[in-house]
Amino acid sequence: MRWSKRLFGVILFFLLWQLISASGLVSAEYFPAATTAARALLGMLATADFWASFATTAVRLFTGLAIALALGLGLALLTARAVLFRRMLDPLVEIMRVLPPPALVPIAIYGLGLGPRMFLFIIVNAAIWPIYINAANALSSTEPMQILTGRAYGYSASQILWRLRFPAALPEIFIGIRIAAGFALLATIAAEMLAGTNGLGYQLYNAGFSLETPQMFALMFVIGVFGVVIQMLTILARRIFISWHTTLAAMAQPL
Amino acid sequence: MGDGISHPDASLSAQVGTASGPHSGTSGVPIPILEARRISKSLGVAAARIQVIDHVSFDVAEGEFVSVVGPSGCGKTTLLMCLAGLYSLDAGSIQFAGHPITEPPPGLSVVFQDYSRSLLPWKSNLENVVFGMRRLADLSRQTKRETAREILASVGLSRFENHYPWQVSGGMQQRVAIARGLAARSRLLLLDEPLAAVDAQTRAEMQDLVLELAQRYRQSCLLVTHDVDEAVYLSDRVIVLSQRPTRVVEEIMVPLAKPRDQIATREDRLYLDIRHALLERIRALKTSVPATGP
Repeated sequence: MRWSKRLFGVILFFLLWQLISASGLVSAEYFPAATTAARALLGMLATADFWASFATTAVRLFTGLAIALALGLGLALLTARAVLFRRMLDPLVEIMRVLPPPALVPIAIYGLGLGPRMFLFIIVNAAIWPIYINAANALSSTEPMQILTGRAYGYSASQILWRLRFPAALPEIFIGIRIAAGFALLATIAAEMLAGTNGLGYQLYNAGFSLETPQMFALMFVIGVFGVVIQMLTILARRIFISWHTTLAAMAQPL
Repeated sequence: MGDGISHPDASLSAQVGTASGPHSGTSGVPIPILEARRISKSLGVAAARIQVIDHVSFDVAEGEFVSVVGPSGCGKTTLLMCLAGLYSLDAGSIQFAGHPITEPPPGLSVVFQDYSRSLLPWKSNLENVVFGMRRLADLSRQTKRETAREILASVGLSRFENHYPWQVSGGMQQRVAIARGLAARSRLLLLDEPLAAVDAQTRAEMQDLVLELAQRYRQSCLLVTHDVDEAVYLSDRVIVLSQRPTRVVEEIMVPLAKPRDQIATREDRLYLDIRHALLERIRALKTSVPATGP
């Protein structure tokens, strides 16, 4: 029921698109019909070039996200044990996290050239902060009774971090990962558009400015769907790792 | 609640009869396992700081069951947190098994009043009980799980060991918390209103279970409660606290026969006299002007 409703909205959107382009209100050159874009998409999906670009973008994105996850969690666990360090770090984080990914592209090119490290730098910087901020906040707001319980039953400070504060923080950490996944896609495409020689972002940029608008719309669609798939993967990972929380949340919020 | 309490098995009841009494000292003098000496504690910061505990002293003997009663808000939970080594003292000292307490010592476990927040929501009821057995390092994980299963069965939760705490009722959560405290096999068990959330019938059964298990594992118990009947029924001695800043105003011995019986004990003339004396003492405390702390 819910799925058919969601699908209905998508179908309606494409119908409207088709109607508007058929009415001749917009230039077919800049705004091709939905069917034209769909044909371009099918043609594109049959080429090896497209899949090579897709693989390049996917590898950049997932590598960047994995590094951001490791560094972000590591940093949060570090600040969980050293409050002073967190006080020093957080103002810097506040600045870094609001910097738009394209703003870093020139400096990244100066420092790291045009190679894969430049892309990783931009993607990691976009994805690390939501992970770090969510994890650090969650690790520092563990239910006090749980910590007292851990202490009363003989757990050391580091055991309390690993066996109480970390599992208790997981639901919020997964929210951070979900936000980070969206930011990572945004940063990957932006960096590829500005400084890439391959990848979906580069292809989109080329198609757009060489007036291959059907291909451009097809690529936008692919990137959008890719984003949805990534979000679904993070939800799936959440279900696997913290099934208890999924059930608890479902109980608290009956649909 | 719907679930039944399984009757404690025969071997458990048999062991209760042979367990040694509270006073195990050869000369008849009880050996103290816990000694609180003139302890004081304030909570809050700056202007909001208030003195909660004011020079409180008492002992708990090896194997003894002691209850602490007093008007609500008098600082019973704060006192228990201090005794558990979870709060630092402003003044005075606490010795547990002959050593001063600075942090939660081995051999002491706590059943918190706030059971729902002290149970870990990502662990099953069984794993929550196993969590309390951290200090039983010589037991294998398998043995710990077996022991936890037995204890959950004795509090009537066999069918719920794989449920999460938030999937069972408040009364059942409280029993999980008690099972976790018992599973640690500590020499001293600190109980903070452990039966406040269970219905009257279950409460009576849990009282007998706590008494039986405490004797079975030769545990000393310190119970904090506002329920005078429960204090008299369970205890060898009852300590009465004043309003905040709290002081010990009275200690009453409860020389009732053991094992206690929910019907016979509660009809005993001595039980009724002690209960009467305690209730009068507490009523007098409530109506009197609270003492101002130094």
